[in-house]
Amino acid sequence: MKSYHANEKGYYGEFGGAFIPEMLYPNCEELRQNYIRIMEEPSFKKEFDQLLKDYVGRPTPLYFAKRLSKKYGTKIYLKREDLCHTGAHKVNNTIGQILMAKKLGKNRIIAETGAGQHGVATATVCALMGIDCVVYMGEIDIARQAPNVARMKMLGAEVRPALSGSRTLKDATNEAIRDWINNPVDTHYIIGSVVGPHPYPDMVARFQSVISEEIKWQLKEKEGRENPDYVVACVGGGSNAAGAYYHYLNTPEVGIIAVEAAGKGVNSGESAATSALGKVGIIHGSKTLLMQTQDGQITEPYSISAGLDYPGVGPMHAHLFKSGRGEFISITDDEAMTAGLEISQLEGIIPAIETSHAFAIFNHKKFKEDDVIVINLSGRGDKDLQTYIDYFKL
Amino acid sequence: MMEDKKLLSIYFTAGYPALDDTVKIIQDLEKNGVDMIEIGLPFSDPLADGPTIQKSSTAALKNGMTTEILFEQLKDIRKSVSIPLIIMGYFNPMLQYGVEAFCKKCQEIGIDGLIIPDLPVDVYHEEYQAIFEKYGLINVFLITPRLRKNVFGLSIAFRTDSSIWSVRPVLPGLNSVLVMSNKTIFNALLHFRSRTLKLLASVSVIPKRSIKPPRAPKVLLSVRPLLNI
Repeated sequence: MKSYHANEKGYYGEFGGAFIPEMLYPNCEELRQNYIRIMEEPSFKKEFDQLLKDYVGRPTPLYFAKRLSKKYGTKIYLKREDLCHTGAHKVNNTIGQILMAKKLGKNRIIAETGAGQHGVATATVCALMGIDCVVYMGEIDIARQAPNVARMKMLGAEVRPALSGSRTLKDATNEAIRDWINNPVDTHYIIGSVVGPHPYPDMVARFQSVISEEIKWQLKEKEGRENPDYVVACVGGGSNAAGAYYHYLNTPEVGIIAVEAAGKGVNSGESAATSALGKVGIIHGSKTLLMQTQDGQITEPYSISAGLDYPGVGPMHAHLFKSGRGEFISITDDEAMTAGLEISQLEGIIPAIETSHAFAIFNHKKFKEDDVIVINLSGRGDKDLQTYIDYFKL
Repeated sequence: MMEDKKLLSIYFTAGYPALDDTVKIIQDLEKNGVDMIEIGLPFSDPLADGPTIQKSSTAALKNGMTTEILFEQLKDIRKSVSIPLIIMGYFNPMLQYGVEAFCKKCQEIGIDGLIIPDLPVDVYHEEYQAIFEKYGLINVFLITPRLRKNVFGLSIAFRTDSSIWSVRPVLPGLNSVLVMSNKTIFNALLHFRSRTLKLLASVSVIPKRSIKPPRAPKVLLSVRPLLNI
């Protein structure tokens, strides 16, 4: 059977691998040699599961969205990752990686962040474990995401500005990698998405796979079957999507829908729709689809949602796209904002703008009445209130 | 053919400070006694480089530097410059240009080798080594201060026969400078601790262009302490 998981060298089809400078080789190699073994240790599993339950608040509910379902004439379930501690799925990964770092004997954590959600999730687990934490964040993002910067500081993390290049997420990632090169022995780098060199995409996907693991038994309870007809998630780098798809990747009867940010329109020049605009290239140590100039310079994407404006996409998703296993839909800023308002008023849930993109697919794709659709509600909208206020003049 | 002496190799970013400075910088460096030049092909995301090269790269791209323009600027360089020339750049721009087309162009111009920090040795060996060799290009690998007597280092030694290896001051805190190639020197490297320039005082050189470059293992000393030129 065809597998959509990473192979031993970290390749998903032609995508993935580890295109890293020699200086980083020992770091990635240490992780590569140990991550699966550590994740399978009973003591690791026990601590991970315990923290997910008692600290994160898992399992998160699988909620039947009655009014939304009625409106679109199909059966829609919402996987409530927005109810996780810190407000999004990001913490599933940071809990896993902080435990991994401890097992590897690391006493310092670094991370990159764009909008600040992963930075907050990392600062949170570092506070929990009493480990030093440095978060790299683009200078421009620091200015426009002040509340999350304050959160990280309150949690005891140091926020360091990335001053190079476009001074956003991709540059923060470069800075974190440089830090790791300089501090290879005592530091673990917690990457926030299914991107970066092998084994990161696979490791992060495994930590996030708790999402689809829960969907399976929860749907069985509610619908009498483990498999929905479709599982839907928004994709920036793609960690919430990887988690929601994970246990369905090799189950062809489950449709996979990936929702990307079209920004002001796929062809507007201000977009983050990597599957439509990207070409094969290398970013942050991974071969994947990537938005770039003809000359191979990485370009700055745009989306109203800070969590979706990554110029690449995780190699798993590049493979899902290229192989046709996944259906990719691009949603504009306007469509996403409208959908965010709609779900707020139909279900009483204000979603993160990233997630709002996933709710906008119903104008692009028609579903059958008895289709069962699971949408991964990856995060809550508190962090986006100012953007919603400005957009809707609330 | 081989001579023993200390070498000075200088890196600069092509397209900086001004787009058309490339040829003049190369000529002036040679006139002033530099033994080898690393021509930096600027990249938007130079993740193995420190702040100086980040800034010069950003500025060079803003000035309009592209792979095509660099090749155009260099097309007659061998009429006036004879010291070894190496292009240092990241893999993505080469991938977009086409690796074979890139190598072919380098050969036409008279480039001696490439430094591509994010092209790992195993990928090079499996997918690109044959192309590099077809066009007579030396691939320069980096060796780091954390090099141990490990399998990885040895595997490089046995996989390549025409490479120069270097440990360079890529970032603040990484203060090693060294380039090497053959197994004898590699064995010395395994015991290498002080990582100073002096250790490599006795090394061989890629000869100037007036002499046909030998295909034998070569050793270069690369000095790249973030010089602002």
